[in-house]
Order: sequence, then structure tokens, then C-alpha cells
Amino acid sequence: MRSLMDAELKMLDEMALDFAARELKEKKEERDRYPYAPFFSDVLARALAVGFFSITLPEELEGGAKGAWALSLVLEDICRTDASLAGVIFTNTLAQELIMAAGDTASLAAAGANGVTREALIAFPSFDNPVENLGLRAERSGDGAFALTGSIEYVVLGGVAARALLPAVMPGREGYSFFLVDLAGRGVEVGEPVLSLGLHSCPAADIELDGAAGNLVGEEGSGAKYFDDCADRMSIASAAMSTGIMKGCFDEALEYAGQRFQGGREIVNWSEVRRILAEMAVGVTVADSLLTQACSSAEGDEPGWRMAARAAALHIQEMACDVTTDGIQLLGGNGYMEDYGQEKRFRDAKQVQALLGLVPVRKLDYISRLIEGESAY
Amino acid sequence: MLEREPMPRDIMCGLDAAPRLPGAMRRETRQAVALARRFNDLVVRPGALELDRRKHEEPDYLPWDFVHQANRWGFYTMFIPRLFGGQGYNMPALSYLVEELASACTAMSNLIGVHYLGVATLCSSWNMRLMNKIMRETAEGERAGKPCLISLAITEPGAGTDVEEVELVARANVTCQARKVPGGFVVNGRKIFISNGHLSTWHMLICYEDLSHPETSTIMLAIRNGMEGFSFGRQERKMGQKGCPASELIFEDCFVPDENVCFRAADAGRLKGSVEHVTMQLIDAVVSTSRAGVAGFGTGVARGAYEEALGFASETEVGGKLLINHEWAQCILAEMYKNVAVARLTYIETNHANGMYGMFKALQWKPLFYYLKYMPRVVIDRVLAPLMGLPAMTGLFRKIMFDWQKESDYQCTSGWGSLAKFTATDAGVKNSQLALELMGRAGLRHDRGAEKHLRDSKLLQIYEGTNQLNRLNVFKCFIGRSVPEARVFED
Repeated sequence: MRSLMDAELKMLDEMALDFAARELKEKKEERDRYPYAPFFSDVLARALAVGFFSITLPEELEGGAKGAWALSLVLEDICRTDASLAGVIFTNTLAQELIMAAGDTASLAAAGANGVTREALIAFPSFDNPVENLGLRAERSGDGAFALTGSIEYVVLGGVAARALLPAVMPGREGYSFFLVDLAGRGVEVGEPVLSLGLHSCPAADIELDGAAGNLVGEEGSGAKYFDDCADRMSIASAAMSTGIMKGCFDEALEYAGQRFQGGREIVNWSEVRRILAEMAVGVTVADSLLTQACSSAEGDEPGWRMAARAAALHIQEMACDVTTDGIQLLGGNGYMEDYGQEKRFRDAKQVQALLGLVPVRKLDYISRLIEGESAY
Repeated sequence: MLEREPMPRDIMCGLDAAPRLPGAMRRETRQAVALARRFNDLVVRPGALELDRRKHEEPDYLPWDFVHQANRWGFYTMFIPRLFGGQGYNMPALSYLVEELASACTAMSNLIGVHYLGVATLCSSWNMRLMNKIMRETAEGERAGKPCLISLAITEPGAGTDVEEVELVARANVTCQARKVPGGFVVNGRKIFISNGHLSTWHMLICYEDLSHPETSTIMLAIRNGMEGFSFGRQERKMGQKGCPASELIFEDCFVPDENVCFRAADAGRLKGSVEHVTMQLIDAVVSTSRAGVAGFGTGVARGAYEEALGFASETEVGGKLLINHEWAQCILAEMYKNVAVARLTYIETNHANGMYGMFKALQWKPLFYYLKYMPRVVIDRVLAPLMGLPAMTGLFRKIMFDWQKESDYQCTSGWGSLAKFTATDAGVKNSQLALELMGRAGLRHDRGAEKHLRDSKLLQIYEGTNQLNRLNVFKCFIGRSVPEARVFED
């Protein structure tokens, strides 16, 4: 990815790597014990300060005004060390992108202006295509306001952010709409953090609403249009997370293989270990190439970039699950223990694969778009 | 024609074994499965997620409540021969039992199944006196409500895979040493990743008299809690199977009397084979049986993941209709079902191999099987048990089990043990991954159970020899023997 980057991207790359080294390298195991250990609010505050929660926001919103490439670069660099922070950035950015796609930038102007992390963050059910998680019903409550009722599962950052962007159906209208909900408002009950497979410091919560006030974002019934518009670009971001996890995993496996002895020599000198390392290295290199191509195509708005982005995400996420499985295997029993980084990467890779909806359904959607005539290349 | 590879004995274990199997084995196996299913309904499923969650919160928590329940249900004596005070269920039924338990919780299945790894290790020594002493203590612990589990302590900080192969241990970085002193041995060193360590009363310790020649100086000692110089270290922080502790065992000038020596390679001179050969026979005897058990765990977790996915697909709508009615979902579920079925077949065949040519051979010989099954307990306890203390008994059984075992016998049992181990445990991981892909967000949640299967399953590809070592063992046992140029572990 790096050879094609311009000077601005290279600076961002250095900054993200430096941030990861300073803020994320230490205490990974302790942070990952959340919700049975303190939340890493201090790290989030510093991530906010360096602009990680406004990378793609326009300049008038004091954002970085960057595209998919810059976002992917930051996510990848962070995931090489600890993917949880990247999960927070991803979810928040997805919510921001949806709001921008709906043309409601006024809602974003209020966020983060005072530098308070909680107010800057927007929760969102980022492990769903919203059409798979429509437990909320919205009804007009007068003066253009809406009252939301029902339950919605697994809203990422639900217990951390001040506001949530939630999908809801409206009686008598097809499709779904997005609403911004104040999570401290009346009629809102946010559950305990849901203990999950991975990304422990990017927690989700189930939310119950009982007539809670919600501000419509964009047009009624247009939720799917906004989501489909954003999901292509955010697929690249999710692929970047998987790529970063793979790179961190390979680096640790290679280092360990040169240190650990078996049968009287370093395990890196056994050919089966080398074969597995080679499989991992090929996976990492292919992911890097695919990701670079997807970023470049998206930046240039080249024909077919949307389909290429989706395909890259599906393929890279699957490879990341395989690579991290081998990553544990190469460390043997140590790889399975929390003292090393590999078991967390194994869990995080599988968790990241679930971003933006069910894998088989995403594959079926992909082929449907091809059959309908969209160009893949 | 029948001397060609693949050899009939290796590909027809079940066919050869079927007519020789005592009919009662089928009834016992069904009873074991039924008991496990009742236990799953009443104990395992109601407590599995809570135990796992609690270990997330309190990593040092020990699941004594579960162990006491399993003890009350009789699981710790179920597969101990009646000759040694147990219930005498046939050992192949253990694989079915642990499959059932692991389909609900692999950690809890280990809390029971790993005890039999200790039992199998003890039995592989054929030290009839210590077998009788230790296993009867387990039986007494069941009666008294004081669980007496047995663990195997073999892995060291610097040597995991190495200690399961004599050829590798010769070059390994082992540090746990037993030094001969008058009246016994003094042990120093550490063992790690010992499943059930903190929960066990007895520990079958594999260590070495000469650290520069571990391949010829292996010694198996029976360590009991409370021995001076023996203590527990930390519990490992594992990704999964959290409910089953992986313990560190620490030995600091721990004196072990001669009477606690289960097996000493240096004494193997009375047997036909070389010291290395007999040591490898002993290791193969353990892993040929224990790997069938690990394959049971793998099959179980593969099944648990499949059942979670099936339940989800049966109640969740995607695109306006139930997931289970989408053709693609039906094909994924069929693939998962196949993975379970194939995994199960491999442990079944391994158990047949062990019954024909390995550790179960004597116990499945019909006259002995029925003699031990129906002989009144009082006769066993008063007449047969005292005989077990005679050195001649140990000598006799070692003669039968070591000297009479042909190379082709342990190639078959060890090869099948490895094949089952990596097939079933790979299936466990694969099905767990498929379940999560099918379930999406629901699969990620701890309270739905599927993610726990994925975390639990991964360990199975590592312990009891990594799946890479097991593939090499299949090559060694079934493939390399017919290629004169082939060498193993000489990369």
C-alpha cells in the first residue's frame, strides 16, 4: 500500500503508527479484559484529539476531509497493534458517513466541538445490514419529531456514545429510516456491555426504546439507499482492519518462529513451519495489494470500484480468519494464551468479518448486483 | 494382493473388530450417551456460559462445584476397570461420552475427559500396584464425596511437541529432572499447561533422569498433592475452554519415594525392545487412546456449533423467509453435519484399532470382558485386588503389552489416533467458523454460545500434539513405512 501513497498519506501513516506504538502497545491484555476492566477512555480522548474520529468529515465540520484511503490507512495501522480502537473509529465513521449521505451535516456540526469523546461518538449497529435488525418502530409525535419504540440488538458503542444512529420502520411506509437518538434521553434504556468474541474495547449494547425522541436523518424510507451508498466505501475500511490484523499476526509469528526451539533448532528451520509462514505471507501480501487497489480505485472513482471493494472485503476478511488461525498454531500452546497477541487477533479477525452483515448474504448481494448488470472490473 | 498398501488391517479395523466385540459394549455405550445427555440437560447447559463468563471476570476461579457434581454422577470412575474399583464401562464409550458433553461445553467435557488422560497414562505403565492404589482412591473419593482426579503433567515451558516423540525429545530443551537418591528421586523443574492440574489429587509426572539424554531416561512418577516440594503455580489465561484450568506445576527438591515410580525407562532392560523403543511404545499407547478422546471433543464441538447454527436458522428470517428455507443455508448446514459425521467415524475406527491391536485388546477379549463385568465386586476386591500388588503381575502385563505388540500393531493404533485427532479437531474449528458466518452478529454474542465454541475448539488443534505433529505421525505410521527413502523428523 505504501509505495503508491502521496506525501500527505505517508505523514498520516507515520502518525497512525506512532500513535499505535505510544498508546496501544502496552496493556493490550488488560484493555481486552473489558467489561471486567476499566474502559480505555483516556486512549479514546487522545484519538479524538489527533482527529481519528473525524477523518472523513468535511473541513467545515473541522474534519480531515480525507477519503477511503486515509481512513483505511489509519485503521490498518491501528489494527496491527490492537483492533478495538479501529472498531470504535469504524463504527463512528460509518454513522457519520450515513448522516452525510443523508445530507444532514447539521447533526454532525454539534458533535465533538468541545472535545468530549462521549459527545463526539455516534453509536451504530455496525455488524448488521440494518435491514437485518429492524426491531424499532417510529411514529410521528408532532412538530416533525418522532417517537421510537421497540428493541434493537448489538448497537456498537451503545454504552459509550452520547447519541446513536438507529434504523426504524414507520407504519404504512416501505423500507426503513434512520434516526438520531439521544442515549441519555427519556424512554431510552441501554443494556450492559454485551460480552463478545472480539474487539472487547469496542463494546456493543442492546437498547430498549419506549417512546424515545428521535430526529429523522435524511428522507423517510431512504435508509437502505444511504446504507448501500456508504457500505461500498466502508467495506474497504473493514478490509483494512482485517489486513492490519493479518500483518500484526504474521510479524509476531515470524518473530516467534526465530526464537522458539523444537527438536534442537529454531522452529523456523522446520520446513512445515516455513510452509505455513509462506501461506500467511502470501495472504498478507495479496490482502495488501487488493486493499491498495481498492483504495486507489475508490479515490479515483474508477468504474467498478464499488464491486471491487465488496469483493476485496469478502476475500480479505476470510483470509484474515485463516491467517490468524495459523498464527496461533505457529505459537503452539503459547498462541492460545492471552499473554501473547495471537489469540486476540484470531477473535478480532472473526469479529471484523461480521461487520456490515451476514457473510453469505453479502456474497449473494454481490452476485445479484453482477447479475443485474453492475460492472465488476 | 493383501500385502500391498493400504494394508487391510489398517483400512478394515471396524470390519475385523465387529464380530469380536462383546454385545454388552453396545448397551454400555448407549447408557453412557443417555447419561451424558441427562447430565447436559441438568448440569452442563444450565451452567456452561456462566462458568465461562465467570472465568472472564475471575481468571483464578476454580470450578469445584462442577467437579463435585460430576463426581456425584459417577463420571470419574465410569471408565475405571472394576478390577480397580471403578464402574468398568468400556473405554471406547468414553469418546461418545465426551462428544455428547463437548456438544454442550468443551471445557466441562474436559473437566471429565482429561481425568481419563491421567488414567490412560497411569495404565500405559502397566504398574498394576500403583494402578490399583490410585484408581481405588478415585473410587473411594466418589463414595466419600471428595473428588480424586488424575492429571498428566508432561508439557514444559521449553518443550511441547517435543515431549510426545522420542526422536524429538532427544534434541529437546527439557528441564524437569528426577535425580536418583537413596529410597527415591528428587524432582526439580516446572510443568505448564497441565489440564485439570489445580483440580487433581494425583499427577502422572513425565520427567527425565538425564537431561542431556531424555530419550533414554524417561521416568513416570506418581505425584500426590501435599508432597513436600510440590506446589501449584499460576493458572494460564486461555482464549477458550476457560472452565478447565491449565495449571503450572512446580517441583522444588520434591522427594518422590521409589514406591511412586510408575515406569522407569532405565528398567526396561527386562523387556525385548530398546529403551527408546519401549518409551515410544508407552507414549504411543497413551496417545492412541487419548487422541480418540480428543477426537471426541472435536466431534462434540463441531456438533455444538452445528446445533447452534441450526437453531438460529430455524428461528431467524432473512430476506422475508426463515434462514433454514434458503437453499444455500441448507447446503452449509449439510456441510456442517457431514463434518460431524466424518469426525465421529474417525474416532470410532481408532477405537476399533485400539481394541484389535492396542490398549483395549485385553479388556475387550470376551472371556475377560464378561469375567470382569459380572464377577461379584466382593470377589474382585478380596481375591483379585491383593494380587495386583505382586511385582509378577506388573511383569506379566508389561510382557504382554510391550513385548507381544508388533510394529504393525502400534503403527495402526497410533496412526489412527493421529488421523482422528486432526480430522475431528479441524472439523471442530471449521464448523465453529461456519456457524459464526451463518449467524452474523448473533454468533458474536457470548450469551448465544456460538462464539464460545470457536474459542474452545482452537485449543483442540494444539494439545495432545499439534495437528502438524499428528500429520507427521500419520506419515510415519501409514505412509513412510512403504517408501524406503522416507525419513521423519530429519527435515
